Amino acid sequence: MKKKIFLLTIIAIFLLGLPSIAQDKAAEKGPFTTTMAFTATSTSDDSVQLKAVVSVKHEEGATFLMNAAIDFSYANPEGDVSIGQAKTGINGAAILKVPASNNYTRDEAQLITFKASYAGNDKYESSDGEFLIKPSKLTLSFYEEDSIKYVKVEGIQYEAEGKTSPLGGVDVAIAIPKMFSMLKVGQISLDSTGIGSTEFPTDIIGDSLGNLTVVAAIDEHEVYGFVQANASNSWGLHKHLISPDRPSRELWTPIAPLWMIITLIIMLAGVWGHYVYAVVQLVMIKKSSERARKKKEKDEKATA
Amino acid sequence: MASNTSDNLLKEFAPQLEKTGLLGKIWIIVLAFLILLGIFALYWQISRGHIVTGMRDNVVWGMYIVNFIFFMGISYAGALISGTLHLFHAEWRKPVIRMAEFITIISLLIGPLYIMLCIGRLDRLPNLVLFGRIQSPITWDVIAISTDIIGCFIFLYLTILKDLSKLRDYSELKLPAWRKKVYNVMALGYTGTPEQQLMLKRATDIMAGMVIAIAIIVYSVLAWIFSVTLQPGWHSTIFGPYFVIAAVYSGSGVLIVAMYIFRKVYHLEKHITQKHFVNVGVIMLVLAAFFGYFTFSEYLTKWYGSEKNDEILIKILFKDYYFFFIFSNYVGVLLPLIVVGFKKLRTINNITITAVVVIVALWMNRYLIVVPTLESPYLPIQDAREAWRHYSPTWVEWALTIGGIASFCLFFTLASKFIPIVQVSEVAEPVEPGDISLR
Repeated sequence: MKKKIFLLTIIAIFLLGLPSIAQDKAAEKGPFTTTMAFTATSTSDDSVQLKAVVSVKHEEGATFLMNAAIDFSYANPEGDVSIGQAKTGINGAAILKVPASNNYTRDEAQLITFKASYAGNDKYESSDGEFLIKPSKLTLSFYEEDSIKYVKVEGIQYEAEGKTSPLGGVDVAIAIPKMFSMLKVGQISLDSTGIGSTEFPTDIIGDSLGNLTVVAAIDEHEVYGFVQANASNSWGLHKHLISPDRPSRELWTPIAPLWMIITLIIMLAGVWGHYVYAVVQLVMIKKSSERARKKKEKDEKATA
Repeated sequence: MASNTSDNLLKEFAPQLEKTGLLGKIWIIVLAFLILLGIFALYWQISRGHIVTGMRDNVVWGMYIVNFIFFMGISYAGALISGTLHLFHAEWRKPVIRMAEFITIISLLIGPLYIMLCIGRLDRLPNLVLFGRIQSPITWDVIAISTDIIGCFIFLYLTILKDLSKLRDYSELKLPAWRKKVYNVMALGYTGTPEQQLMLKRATDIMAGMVIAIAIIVYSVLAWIFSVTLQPGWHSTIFGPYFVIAAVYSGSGVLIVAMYIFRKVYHLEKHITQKHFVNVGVIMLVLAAFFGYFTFSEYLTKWYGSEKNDEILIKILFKDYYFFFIFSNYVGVLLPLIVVGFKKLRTINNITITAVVVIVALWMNRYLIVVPTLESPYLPIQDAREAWRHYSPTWVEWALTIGGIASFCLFFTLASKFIPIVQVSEVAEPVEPGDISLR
């Protein structure tokens, strides 16, 4: 009896000790607080990209809110004017593009106030955001002079009534997109004509053909907000899966290393050879029993 | 003489083969219910996706992989124990060797199913065969496990062949006609002529050696899936032998528990005596010592190396998984050493309770290998909810785990209804097969 109690105690400790509270616990009660991160980015296709990312705060952190309808508008002395609506996706982002050259109301500093709002519902609280920007545009190009490679950036800004003027006196970062972030490779200060250039590094690894995507960006400028442009060149180093400088493991090649193939074949042939031998013995047992049966029948007939 | 003894033994085992008592039926119904619960959980998981499990983007492996390693472990243990005892002609093995063989086959059938439960897109499973790359440890595992299953089936078939012929020839068994027909077909006309005995011995000896080798290779391959991965706690050169020792250790525990249950239920006190428990217990003791040595070596080198992520992992093991760590690596190692080490404590009940503790400890050991490492990877977990950084199993995973254990018990029960749980022909034979000269 004592041993049974001991055994049950061990099992109970084992079960209780497991961290079995899980993700499937009862749903938390709402309404949940939502937060919005709203930005406006001038892009190289003559438009302004409005992006609102909505997150929901939980006890254990924050998650993105999907399928939320976001209303975009711009500020006007007589009341906000609607531009359009977009729904958030899996990453909680709703995106709407508007022309950079537009007649939206501007303030004294020529800035347009874009607004985004989420109305909320029984489960999620409302949230909103606004972003002031003067639309602009960057254009990237590349050229080579005396065997030195250069990247050139031209910037313009959109004035009211559709006019443009040079985007001067701002710093533009030159970067290469990496898997998770940007690799900054240079910086250009645009002159009064809105033009600037810098030497482009030659030691950046591109794809197998040396192709690189280059990004020119102005980040969170007090007047122009976010401005971005990108272009491609083939000035990168050709990326090889196997570096000739180091010993290769060849794990990414289509065919396995020779030593691995030979080892596998030897092992499988050895093992399966023995299996076949064992099965052959079974077949021989079967045959020998048939022979014995036939002999027995023959003997019986002869006796009869 | 031998034939008469076989007949007597078959007469003794006839009730187990012919009918199932009320308790036996209730046992089967309970197991079937638990399996149905598991099937319902599987339906729940398939219809709603893996979100119903505790696995998330960071901790992508959980109880399913733990169960997979555990079941594969006890299967290799069965193969190693039965193969080794067969090769060394250990006389005492005869009443228990079939249980070891059943453990091997049944757990080999259940273990890989847990991999299927872990895969999110089962429709892509054929790609593993169609586009499998030899460089991938997963491909090694698929090749190794399928080779092992076939080898163990051949070995089991070879070892039951004599009993099948006895069952075919024993006319007093009250069995349905279909079962007699099955015995007749499966016995391959074996009558025990010297020629047949020799062929069977050759095949069995070869396969006994093969299952030992395959078991070591296959479990090492399973260990290499972890050790070739650059993760804290996994990238270890001793994982191969460590896994093999841990597998045989847990399997010896399962064998002792199976011996205890069948001894009680089928009244095998005459065949399975304290000597058998002590002998398997001594095997368990030796393995406990090896397991403890490997475990200590593994953690000592990591702790002494003071590599940042190893330190974080060890901290987690001693903090968040304190109970698991102490139970699996201290209680699970020391208890067999004490109970089997001291003669006075070597009773059947003590050894069986120790075996239960060993089984639980080794399951926890697998949990500690899989989960804490994924919770503390080299690449820091970012932008994830706090609950998603840690793994905790859901009812679905528990139901499927219980379903797997119930399937193991049910298959074991049904197997013992089909073939005597004790090797009738071997126990009846006073002459060892090794005495037949190889011509």
